[in-house]
Amino acid sequence: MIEFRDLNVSFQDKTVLEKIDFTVADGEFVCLLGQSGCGKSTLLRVLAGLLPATSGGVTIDGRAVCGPERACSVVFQDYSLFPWMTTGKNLMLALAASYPEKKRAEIRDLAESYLEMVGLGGVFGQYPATLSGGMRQRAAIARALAIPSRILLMDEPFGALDPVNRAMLQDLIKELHRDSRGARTMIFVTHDVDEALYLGTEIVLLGSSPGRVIAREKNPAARNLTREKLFNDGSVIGLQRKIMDIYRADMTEKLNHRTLFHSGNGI
Amino acid sequence: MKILLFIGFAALTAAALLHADHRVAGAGALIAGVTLIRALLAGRGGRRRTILDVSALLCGFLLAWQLAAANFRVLDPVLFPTPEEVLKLFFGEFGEMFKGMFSSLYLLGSAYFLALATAIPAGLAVGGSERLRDAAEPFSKVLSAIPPIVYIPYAIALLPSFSAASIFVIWSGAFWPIFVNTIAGVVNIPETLLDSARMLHLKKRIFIFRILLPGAMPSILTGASLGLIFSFLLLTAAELIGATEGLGWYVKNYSDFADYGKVICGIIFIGLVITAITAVSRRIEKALLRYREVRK
Repeated sequence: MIEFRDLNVSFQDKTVLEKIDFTVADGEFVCLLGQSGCGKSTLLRVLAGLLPATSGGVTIDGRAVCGPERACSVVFQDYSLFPWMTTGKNLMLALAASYPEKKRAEIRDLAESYLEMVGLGGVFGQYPATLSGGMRQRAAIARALAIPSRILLMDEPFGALDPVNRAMLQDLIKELHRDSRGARTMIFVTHDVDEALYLGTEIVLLGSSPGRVIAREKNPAARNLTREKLFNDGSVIGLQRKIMDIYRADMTEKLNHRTLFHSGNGI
Repeated sequence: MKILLFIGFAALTAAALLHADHRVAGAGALIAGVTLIRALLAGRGGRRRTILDVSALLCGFLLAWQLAAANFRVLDPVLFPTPEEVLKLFFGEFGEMFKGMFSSLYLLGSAYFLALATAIPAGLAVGGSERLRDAAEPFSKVLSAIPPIVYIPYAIALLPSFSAASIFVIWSGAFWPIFVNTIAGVVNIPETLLDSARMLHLKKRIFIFRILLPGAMPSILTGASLGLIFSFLLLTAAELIGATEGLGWYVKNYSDFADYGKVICGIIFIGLVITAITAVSRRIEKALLRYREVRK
């Protein structure tokens, strides 16, 4: 179980995240949904142990996160793979660090099998620069899965992909989650409402400046329904409308608090 | 335009050929003219065109030198011997220069590899720590701007031999560009890439050799080629310290005796050595950055 307890993060004087307080049960697929700059990536980095909290903190199974967390692996939007290594070597590096007792030949076979699992058989010897964006993200996912971690963190991993590749990779990640049968918790950052509805069994909405949780919604339909059925499902349509309403209310409130026009005194 | 150039070259080549004392040089000029015209007529791009262009420029230069020094005698014959004389001298002096090359390459090679072996680890260590970086920056800014020749008296006083002092002077010139560029290379590795590496929980040694070093490599190589140029610049200065042979010494020595034919031979020979070394270092650079070549 992941627990955020009164988590605050500020950079210099700017508060980025304020009073984040929620828990994630094991095996969930949680989508952190919010607009650009609302601090969702920061939240993910704190959970991964890549960034310290200013106050409060995160625990995984009761143990506080401090420093890069072994229970987590991360897929970033860009620059996940090391460009100077072939795709296969990228996986082998991760595997060798995780299984120091295994022989090189075993590690190589494992790396090949992980690449095949994400539909990338035959690119072992290719450098990441020769792969398309979608293939690179598949390889990054394969590397994240190769690490024996229970929690997979994804920071807008499909943000730079074309719609077709994006849909294919969403299906892949959903399938991987389903196949893990609750053994793997996934935390997925996105600003796309439909993507969150399709993937997340639970959606956490973040408001901006400062970043804070403004709503948490369960989305049980995402567990079983196919893409076509999901977006025709009454509960999902209702949820979609609700999320948009919450965002609209949050933005209106923020605009009301801001001075849009100055009086012009002193000009 | 091309026709005018053609007529011009034909006239100049004829002038060179008709000069009774310089028939050999005249024939050389004829070849130069032909090469130039071929370069002008060469079609599409590519390697072939570059080679033709470079040889045309070279031939054009030789032709101009020949005409100015031998045919029209507008240059001081002591300072500017004719290409023909220099060519004869070059083959005569080749043995001595070749021997000198080894002595120079010993100094240059030791100093340069010492610079690589000290500057890259130091740069990786300093680049990886913000605190060290802030502390080292003022020193590297000041020290890298001081010409290493000012250290010569100290090097002679403190180091056991003349060659050690020479190596020190070349090293101190090559060190800074490599050091500063290694730091820049580490700083410029994208933060996400480093975060990815941190999440893999790599051992320190693996993190340095598989992530930091290759990540900083493009910048390190820029520093390394700058360092190589600095080494060559300092070679002559270093060979002023008690050397009795070597390329820098050769040029400086004959310059002192006003034997400018040999000075020019030395310059040409140094040029050839630099060309060879640069070609090798290009190859190495290409091999190390192979992953960048495969972009679609």
